[in-house]
Amino acid sequence: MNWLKESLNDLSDFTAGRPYLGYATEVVDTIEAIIFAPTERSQERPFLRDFIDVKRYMALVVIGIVPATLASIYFYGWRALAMILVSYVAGGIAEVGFTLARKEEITEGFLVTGILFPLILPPTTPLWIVAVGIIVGVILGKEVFGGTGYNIFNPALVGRVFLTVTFPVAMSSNWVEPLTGGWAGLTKYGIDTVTSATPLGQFANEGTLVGLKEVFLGTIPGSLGESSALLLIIGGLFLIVTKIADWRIPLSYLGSVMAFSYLGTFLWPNQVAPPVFQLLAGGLLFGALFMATDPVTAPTTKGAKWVYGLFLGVMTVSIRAFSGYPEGVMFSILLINMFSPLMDDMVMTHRYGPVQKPYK
Amino acid sequence: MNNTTEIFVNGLWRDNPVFRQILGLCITLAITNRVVNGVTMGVAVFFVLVASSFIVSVIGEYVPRRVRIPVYMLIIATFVTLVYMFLRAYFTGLSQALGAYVGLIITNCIILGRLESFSSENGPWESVVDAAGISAGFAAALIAMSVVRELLGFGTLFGINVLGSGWTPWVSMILAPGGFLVLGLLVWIERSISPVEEG
Amino acid sequence: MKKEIWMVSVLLLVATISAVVLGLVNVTTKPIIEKNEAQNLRKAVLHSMEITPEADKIEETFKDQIETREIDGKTVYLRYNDEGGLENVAFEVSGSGFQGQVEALISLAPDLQTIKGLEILNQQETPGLGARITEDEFLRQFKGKVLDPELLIVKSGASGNNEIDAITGATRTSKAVQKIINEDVENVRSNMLTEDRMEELTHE
Repeated sequence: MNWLKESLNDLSDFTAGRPYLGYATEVVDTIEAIIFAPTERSQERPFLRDFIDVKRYMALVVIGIVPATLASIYFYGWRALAMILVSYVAGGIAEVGFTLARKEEITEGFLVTGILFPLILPPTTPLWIVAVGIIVGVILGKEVFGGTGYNIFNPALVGRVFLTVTFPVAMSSNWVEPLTGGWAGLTKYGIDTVTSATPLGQFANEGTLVGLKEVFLGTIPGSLGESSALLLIIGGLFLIVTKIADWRIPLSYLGSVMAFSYLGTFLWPNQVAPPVFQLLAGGLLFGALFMATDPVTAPTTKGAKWVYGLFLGVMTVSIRAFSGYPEGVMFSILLINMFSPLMDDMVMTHRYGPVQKPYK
Repeated sequence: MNNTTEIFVNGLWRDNPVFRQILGLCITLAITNRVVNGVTMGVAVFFVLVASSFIVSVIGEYVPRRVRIPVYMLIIATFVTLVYMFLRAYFTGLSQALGAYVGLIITNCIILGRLESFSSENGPWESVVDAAGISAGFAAALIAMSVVRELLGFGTLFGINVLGSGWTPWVSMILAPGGFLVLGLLVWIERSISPVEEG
Repeated sequence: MKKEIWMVSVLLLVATISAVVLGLVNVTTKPIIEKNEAQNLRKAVLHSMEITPEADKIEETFKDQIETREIDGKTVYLRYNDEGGLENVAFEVSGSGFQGQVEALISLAPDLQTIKGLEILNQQETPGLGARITEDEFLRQFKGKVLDPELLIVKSGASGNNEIDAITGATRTSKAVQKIINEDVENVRSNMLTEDRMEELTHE
């Protein structure tokens, strides 16, 4: 592999500082950074702490989501892969455009957003809508705040919520039954649209509960990557074991959903679905394991993480039960994202006393 | 550039009420989902602002300072009510679309702000030019926003289909979130073209 | 003291001028506004009974064909056929939609169960979604439907003769229309146009 590294280095040196080619340097450097570990050492504090830099971090999250991604192709055909590719290309263009305009290096944060985003869309979403959504997510969810690491809201969810309010018909009433048995979707491009309702939608509209086994395995209508609770748990455990995701957030979020739906089924049995069903159905596991744990938008102090999960749970159960939408994970995470800095601040003040602010 | 053009251009671009001063947002966000609404509101504000600016610049020096705000409000309210009755009588459909927002021109800070900061201290000619510039700037902002919102939200302009029947409407553009998003993006674009001078 | 008097007189003067100007304009525009509104109502009434007169003959046709009655405070529009038999009964129904008040005009057969037509007079629903209740595509469905036992709005694939397809993406507004029609018609049926009253009206 050395020849590749050398030729990339040469290319980078060649383009650097040259008229018209200056922009290409960043692109070349990024390709190199994605394939190889960084060579530069930091010159000031903090010094290298461990091997986990942003790139490695993002790569592991992508590995964690692989089981659910493969399942989405199996359930819904190769169109799922097309949606992921469209998301990477369209979002990538938006991302590169901004970093070039800002004359910054391209960061790898987008690799995660680009795959998480299509997985939270309905399988029938038209490809151009996927493109619109990821572009809005990248620009309005991340770049306007200053790029990777500065965003308040999870960019993938910003894109999703924009699509939900912009294309209500495509985003909330075109669910399809997944294919199962044998090769299922592996021999097909997509599914002919036969609309049905998600388990949460069925509960909200008709009050019927889908069997827990189906919900656990994922043979139910839902967003591309959210259906199979089993595979999400596998991917999530991988993230927790490799310490990419902090276990506190999923534990507190899921626990809080369980507790409040248990309480809710006593008070409002018609509106609040039973705890285990709530846990497995819809986007809860996906959101709790892959969205709420996003290190940029989640709180950083341990205490705040518990509180964060608690509020997420309350919001999710309430929105599912009492709003016009059957699913509330997306709205909850976006809403509670806003309070992460405040929660961190309160925990620090409680622990160490009022912090001397550099500004007045 | 002579004085008159400068005053006008100031209102239209450099001191644009919506993009620069961030005023009159209630109306701007609420009615700009159709170009017709934007144009009507622009014309209505143009009439009210020019007329009341003229009157205030003429009578300004006779009005005691302590009652100047009530007097200005009375003048503005009179013209707004005139516009309201006129629209209801001759443009029923438009007045229904604009709803309460015609009445709300009375409380639009752009108008009171101009009367207080410009017309009361300048002559009739300058005041009318300033009012025309400011309201042209306001109308331009309303039209810019409503073109984006109607085009994406309905696929039409002035109600005429321009994007073909296969266009999927962007519903959020018609609703409040679209107003905020488009306003933010346009302010961003405007300030990238001519950055705000610091200090 | 002199200053205060001056202040009060300036205010009074401006207020007086303003009042005079507004009064004058009001005198000229008020009749036009009222005429517009009356004309819209007449057009809606005629349209709900499937009469489409030429634009300049609305008032004439309305006077000719429709009988307006006040029954216990409810304005009811009646249409008799040439033999003097009651054909249509129309009245306003209203209630809250998804965003604001929805006012509609419903026209029924003399059995007060079969819908002949529906017109939306006023609404503030979401443009492009709920506001589509004013579109013909939605309103056309109501013709011939029977309020037995009551009107039902379904998400899609309306089959029964009391079922209407909801507007895609605006289920709440559609449901609101259902509620308004069911409740108001029931109210009129049991309080104003009772069976006895209908008997009288039919044999006139």
